[in-house]
Amino acid sequence: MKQKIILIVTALLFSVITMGQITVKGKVLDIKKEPVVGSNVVLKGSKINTVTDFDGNYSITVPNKQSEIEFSFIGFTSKVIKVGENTIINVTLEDSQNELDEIVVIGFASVKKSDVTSSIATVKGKELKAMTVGNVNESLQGKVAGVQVVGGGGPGGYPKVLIRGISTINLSTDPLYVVDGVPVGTNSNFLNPNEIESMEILKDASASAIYGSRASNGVIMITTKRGKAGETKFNFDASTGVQLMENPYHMADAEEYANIFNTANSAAGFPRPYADPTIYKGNSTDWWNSGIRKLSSITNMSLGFQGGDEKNTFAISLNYYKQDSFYEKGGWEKLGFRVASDHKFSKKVSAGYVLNPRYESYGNPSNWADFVRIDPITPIYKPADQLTGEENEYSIYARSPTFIPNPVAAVKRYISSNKNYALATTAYLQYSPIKDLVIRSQGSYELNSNVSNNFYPDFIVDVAFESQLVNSIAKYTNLTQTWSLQNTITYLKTFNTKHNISFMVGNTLEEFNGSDLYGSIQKLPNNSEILRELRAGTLNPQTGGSSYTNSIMSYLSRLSYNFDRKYYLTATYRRDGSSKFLENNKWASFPSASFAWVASKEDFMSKYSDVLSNLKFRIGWGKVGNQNLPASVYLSKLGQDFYTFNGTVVNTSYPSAVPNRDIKWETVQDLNSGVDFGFFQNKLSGSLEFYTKTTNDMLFQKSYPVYSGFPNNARIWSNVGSMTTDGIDFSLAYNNKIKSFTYGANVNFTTSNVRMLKLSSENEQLFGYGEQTLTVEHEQPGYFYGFVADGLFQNRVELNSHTNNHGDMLQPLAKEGDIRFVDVNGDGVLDAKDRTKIGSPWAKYTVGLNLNCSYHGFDFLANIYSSLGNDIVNTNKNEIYNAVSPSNKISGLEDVAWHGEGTSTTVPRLSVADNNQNFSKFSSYYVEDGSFVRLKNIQLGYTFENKLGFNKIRCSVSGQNLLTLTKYTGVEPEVGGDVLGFGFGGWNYPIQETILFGINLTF
Amino acid sequence: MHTNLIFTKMKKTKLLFLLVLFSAFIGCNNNEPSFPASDNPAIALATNEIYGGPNRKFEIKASLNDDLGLKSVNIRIPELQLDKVIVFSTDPKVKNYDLSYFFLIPENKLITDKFEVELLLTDLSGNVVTKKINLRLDGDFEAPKLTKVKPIDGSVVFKTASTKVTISFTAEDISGINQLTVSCAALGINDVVPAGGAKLLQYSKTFSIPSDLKTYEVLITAKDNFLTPNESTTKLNFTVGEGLTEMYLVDLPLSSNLTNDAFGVPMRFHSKSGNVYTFKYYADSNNKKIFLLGQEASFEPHCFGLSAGGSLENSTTTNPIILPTKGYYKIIVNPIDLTYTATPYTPTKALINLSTTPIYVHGAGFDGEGWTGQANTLPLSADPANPYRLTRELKLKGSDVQMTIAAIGWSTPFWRLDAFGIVPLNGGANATYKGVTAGTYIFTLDTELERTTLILK
Repeated sequence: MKQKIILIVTALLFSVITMGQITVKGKVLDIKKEPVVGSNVVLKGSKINTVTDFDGNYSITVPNKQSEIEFSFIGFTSKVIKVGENTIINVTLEDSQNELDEIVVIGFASVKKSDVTSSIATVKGKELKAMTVGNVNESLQGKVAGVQVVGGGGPGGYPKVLIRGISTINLSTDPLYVVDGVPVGTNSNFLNPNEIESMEILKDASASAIYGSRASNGVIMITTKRGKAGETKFNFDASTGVQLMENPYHMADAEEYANIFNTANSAAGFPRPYADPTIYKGNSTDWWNSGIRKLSSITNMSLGFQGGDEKNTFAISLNYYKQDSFYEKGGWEKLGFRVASDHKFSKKVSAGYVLNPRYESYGNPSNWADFVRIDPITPIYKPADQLTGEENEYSIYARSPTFIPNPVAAVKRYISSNKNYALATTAYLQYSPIKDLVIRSQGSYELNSNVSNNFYPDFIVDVAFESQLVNSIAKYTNLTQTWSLQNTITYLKTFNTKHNISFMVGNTLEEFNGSDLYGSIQKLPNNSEILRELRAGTLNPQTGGSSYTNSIMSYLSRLSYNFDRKYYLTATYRRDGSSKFLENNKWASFPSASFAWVASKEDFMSKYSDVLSNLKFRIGWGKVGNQNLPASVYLSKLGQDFYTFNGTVVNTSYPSAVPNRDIKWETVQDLNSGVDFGFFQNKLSGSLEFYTKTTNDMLFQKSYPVYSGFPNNARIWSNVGSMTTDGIDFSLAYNNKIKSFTYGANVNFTTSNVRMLKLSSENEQLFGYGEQTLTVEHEQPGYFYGFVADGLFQNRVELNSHTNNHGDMLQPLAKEGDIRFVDVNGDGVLDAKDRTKIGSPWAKYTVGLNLNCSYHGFDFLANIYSSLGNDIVNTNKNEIYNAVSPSNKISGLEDVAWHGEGTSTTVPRLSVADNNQNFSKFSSYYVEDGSFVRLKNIQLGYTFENKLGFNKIRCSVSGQNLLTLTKYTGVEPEVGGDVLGFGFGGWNYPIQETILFGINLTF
Repeated sequence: MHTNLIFTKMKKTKLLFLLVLFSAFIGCNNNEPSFPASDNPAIALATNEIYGGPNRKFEIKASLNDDLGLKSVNIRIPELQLDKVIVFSTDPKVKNYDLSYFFLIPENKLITDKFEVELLLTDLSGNVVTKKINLRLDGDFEAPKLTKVKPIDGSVVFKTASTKVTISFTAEDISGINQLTVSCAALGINDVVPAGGAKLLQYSKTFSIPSDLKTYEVLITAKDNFLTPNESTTKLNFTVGEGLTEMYLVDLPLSSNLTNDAFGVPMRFHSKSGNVYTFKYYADSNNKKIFLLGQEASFEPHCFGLSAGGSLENSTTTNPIILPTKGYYKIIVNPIDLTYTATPYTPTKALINLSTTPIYVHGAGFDGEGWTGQANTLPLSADPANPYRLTRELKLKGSDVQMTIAAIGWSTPFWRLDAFGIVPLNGGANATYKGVTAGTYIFTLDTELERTTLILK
C-alpha cells in the first residue's frame, strides 16, 4: 500500500511537471534548403539538448514559453529562437562568416580555429581546386602568408615549397606532407585538388614539433574529403583547356643569322663565313613550329559522391588528370580512385578506412631549348643528295654545325615510358570506453612501384658528332612499401565550465622499404617496337639493383589547456628514434610550448566588441629536426673507377664515403609571436606574426685533408655550422555581403631574412654552382658571387683610363664595346679576388592577393602572386647574345649589341672571340631583378540552380598565368634550385598561360 | 584665445624656419667631408720632355706634394684619348705621391708627332695646379739587331788537335752602336769593342779553346747610342765533341728557312747507338731530296749530303741524298765514318679506320681548342696517297701549343705530343710549344713514323 501511495504521488508530481513543459519540433535547413544533419539544438542555459536527424528533424522538450532554443552547427551562424506560442520551429542556418568557428587539423587532433595557439594557416579545398593544376601546391601559391611556391616546370614536375624561407643548405628544403594523418614524404604530386577538403600549413615549430625530426621545413597537413550524413550527393567536376607555348625569344632568321656571324667574325679578325647572306632570304628553317606545339591540352575530371546516415558515411571519387607536353610526345596522366568510409558501430566504437589506388604516366623530351638555339640555316632533313636510301627513320635528319643535336630528330628518338602504380590504404579504429576519453589507432600501408622503359634506337645523323651506332634498351623498376601505425589516447574534459583541458599521448611506428632493379643491353636486331625487350639485346648486358629499409619510432604527447577560452597553453613533446643514426644519437626530443591570450574576451574589452570582434596574442617556441640525409652516412663506402695502366684497363676501388658514427639530425629552434585580429564581426580579419628560427648542427659533407690519404671525393657527413632565418607574416582579409552581392579580398605578405651564423670552420668560403655562389658567415647562403660589371667601354678614352695607378691596363684585351669590370679591392689587378656579392636569389617579400565576389548566379575570383626583391642569373645571355657559340641569336642583335659609341650600354659588341671574357667571366652582367607579379588565376563562373534535373550546374571560364609583370628578360622568373644554386635561370620549363572551361554538376 | 592663436602662429613660423634651416643643411650636405683651405699642391716633374714612340709605352714621372693632402691627379693627352684620374685616399691622407704612370702610344702615330701631357693636381681643399710635359715620338727604343750569329746555337764543334772556334755576327742600330761585348767566362773571353757610333758593324774573331768535351755559353751584347741606351743580348751554346749529339733529317733545299714550323721540321732521329743514327722517313714522291743535319735550327755547321763523287760528306754546300721511289725508308747514318744506308720498307702497323674510329686533335693554342676528349671540330682526315698520314688545317692563336691526338673519349689509339713533334702511340708526354706564331698551319700525324709536323701554310 505504501508503495502504491509513493507511486501515485510520484506520478502526480511528474504530471505536474510535464503539464508545464512544451515539446517543440521542427527542421533545420541550410540556405539551399538542404537538411543540416547533426546540428545541435540546445535549450539555452541548460544541459538539455538534442541533434537533428538524417532529414534535419529534431524534437526537444522545453519547460515553458519563455524558453530559448539555440541552433548551431560548425560552419553556420548560430541562431537563438524564443519558443513563445510555437511548437513547430523550422530554422534556416546561414553560412558562417566567422572563420574562427572553422575546424583546424593540428596533427593527431583537430581544434577550432579560435583555439589555435600556434602558427597554422588553412586553405580550403574549394580554393585549391579553383585552378586546374597537376600539383596542388601550384594552387597554393599566394594563398598563405609565409609560404613561397616556385613553379615546378613541365608535366610531372613538382613545385618547390618554402615555408618561411630556408633552414638548411645541404638537405632538402621541402616540407613534410601529412595526408589524413599519415606522413607521406616530401612530394604531393599524387593528389588531385578535387580530393582535398582542406590544407593546413604548420608554419612554426610550436605547431609542427609534433612531427619532430622531419618538421624543420614545416608541415603541410592535407585532409581529404570524407562522407557526410545525408542524402547521397553526386558531384561531377570537369575542366579542360589549352596551355599556350610561345617561343620566349624572337630569334634570327637564316639571313640575319648569317649577317650576325659575318659581323662577329669580322670583329675578331676572321674571314666572313657567309659570302652572301641574301641567298638565305626566305630559306630559314622554322624549328620552333616543327616541334613545339603552340597549344597543348589540359584536362581535369572528377566524379564523386558522398552520403550516408548517422552511423555510416562514405565518400567515393574518381579523379583523372591529363596534361599534354608541348612536344608531339609526352605529358602527364593521373588516374586515382579514392574511397573513404566511416562507421559508428556504437556510441563507443567507430572505425573508418581510405582506399586509394592510383596510376600515373609521365615524362617528355626535355630539349625545347634546342628548338630555339639551333641555327636556322640547317634544314630539318638531310638533302636528297645526301640520302642513300639505306638510312633508318632516325637517320634522315640533318646535322647542325652548331653541335646542337637536331631537336626534331631527338624528339623522334624519344621512346620512353614511365609509369607509377600505387595503392595507399589507411584505416582507424576509435574507442571511447568512458566519456571524454578517446583511444584511437590508425594504420596505413602503401605500395608504390615505378616502371620505366627507355629505348635508344641506332641512328647516324653524323657519324662523328651525332650518332649511336648500336641501339640499346634500359628498363628500371622499383617497389616501395611503407607502413605506419599511430596509437593515441586523448582525454578531453571541461571542469567548472571554464577549465578546458585535453591531454594526448601516443606512439607511432613507420617503416620505409624499397628495392630497385635495373637492366640494360645493346645491339637489338632492329628498332622494331616488338623487339624492345632485354632478351633481344646481344651486346654489353648490364644489371644493377639494391634495396633499403629505414624506420622511425616515436612517442608523443600534447597537453592543451584553456581557461574560459581566454588563456591558452599548449605543450607538445615528441621523442623520435631513427634508424639513420647509431646508438649515441638515435633518439632525440622535440618539445614545444605555446601560449595565447584572447584579449577581446576580457570584460574591459567588451565596450569595443562592436568594432573589435577578435584580438588574440600568441607566442610559441619549439624544436624540430631535419633528417633528410642519406640513410647510410654512418657506413664506409667504396667507389669503383677504371684506370688504364700500360694500355690495360684496371678495375680499381677507392674510399668514397667515410663514416661518421656520431652523426645526428639538424635541429631548428623556432620562436614565433603573433596577433590575430578581427573587426566588425570579423568581416575584416587578419594576423601579424614575427618569427625567428635557428638551425644548429647543420649537416655538411666535408672532404678530408690531402695528407689523410683519402681521395678528395671521399666525403664525411658532419654536424657543423648554424644559420638563422627571421621575418614577418602578415595577412589581411575582408569579406562582406550586401544583399546578393558577396565579395572578399585577402592579401598576404611575407618577409624572410636568412643568414649563416657559423660554417664548419672559421672564415670558410663555401662555393656553389661552379663558384658562382658563395656562402660565408653572417651573410645569406648561396648569394651570387662574381665580378662587378660596370657597363661597356664606349670609347678609347674609357678604355685608356681603365688602368691601375701605374698605367697597367686592368683589362688589356678589352676593346670598345666590351664589359668594364670593377677592380673591387683596388689592388690594381683584376683577378679572382675582385669577385664579390653581386646579387641575392632570396626574395625580400612575397605577396599574394586573392579577390572574389559573387552576385546572384555569377561568381568571380582572381589570384595574384608576387615575389619581390630577389635576383636571377639570366644564363641565357650567354646563348642569345654571345657569338662565340654558333647557336642562333636573337633577332636584331646587330642593332642591340654595341656597335659604336652610345649604341648600347648593356649588350657587348658582337664577336666570335671573347677575349675580354664578357661572357665567360661570371659577373653582374648576368644578374637581373627577378621580381615579378603574376596573375595566377582569373575565373568567371555562373551557377544555374535546379536546371535540367541537376541541383546545380556551374559553368566557368578561367585563365591561369595570363599576365606576368617582370623586369627579368629570361624565360621564366619562377626559378628554383638547390640552396647553393638557387636562382639560376636558363631554359627553365616555363609556367604556361592556360585557358580553361569548367563545368560542375551536382545532383 | 587670441594669445593662443598668436602662439600657434609663432610656433608654425618657428617650425617653418627650422624646417627650412634643416632642409638647407641637408641640401648642402653631400656626404663629402670638408677640409680647411691650404696652399696649392706642387708638381715636381722628373723631366719636361719625354721620348716615346708608336706602339711603345712611355713613363710619366712626377713628384706630387701637398701640405694638406692630395685629392686627385688627372693625366690628360686629348689627342691620344688619355684622360686618367687617380683618386687618392682621404683616410689616411696622402701628402706625397710619386707618380709613375705608363701609357702605350697607339701604333698609328708617327715618330714626327709631338704631344703635351697635362697634369692637373687637386688637393683636398680644392686647389688645382697644372703642368705640362712635352712628349716626342722620335726616340730610339730599338735595341741593336744582332744577326748572322755563329756558331749556331746548339751546334757541335768537332774536337781537333788545336780546337778553335770563330765567333762572328753583325750588329746594326739606327742611332749607332756604342759598344759590343763578347764574353764567355768558362773560356776567359771578355772582348769589349767600342764601336764609336757605327750604324752597322761586323764582328768576327777566332778563339782557341781547350779540347775538353764541354758545352760553352757565349754572351753577346750590343749597346746603342740613344739618350737612354738600348741594349740587346744574345746567348749561344756550342759543344766541343768528337761526334754529334743529335741528328735531324730535312727535305728542304739548302739554306731554307727552318723556322716555318711549330714543330717537326727538321725531323729528329728515331734511335741512336754510339755514332750511328737511325731515321724512319716517308718520301712523298719519287726522287725525294733530303739532307741530314747535325743541329736542329740551321744547315750550318754540320750538313750531310752527297759529294760530287757520291759519298757522304759534311759540308754546307753538299748535294742532297736522293731517295729514288715514293714510300717509307729506314735511313742509317754514321756522321763520323760518313756512311749511310737508305732502305725502303713496307709499314706493318695497323691502319686507323677513321670511319669507325674518328681521330680528333685536342689541346690548346688553336681554334677549337679544348680537352674534352669528345668529338670536336678538329677531326683528322687521311692522306688519300698514304692513309698512315692523318692531316688537317689548324688555326693557331699565337699562344702556347699543346696537343693530344685521340679517338673519342680518350680511348685508344691516342698520341700525346712530346718534344720535337714526337708522338708515341698510346703514350708520350704533353710538351708545351711556347708562343708559336699565329696563323694557319697544316698539321700532319704520321702514325707509322709516330711523328707530327705543324707547318705554316
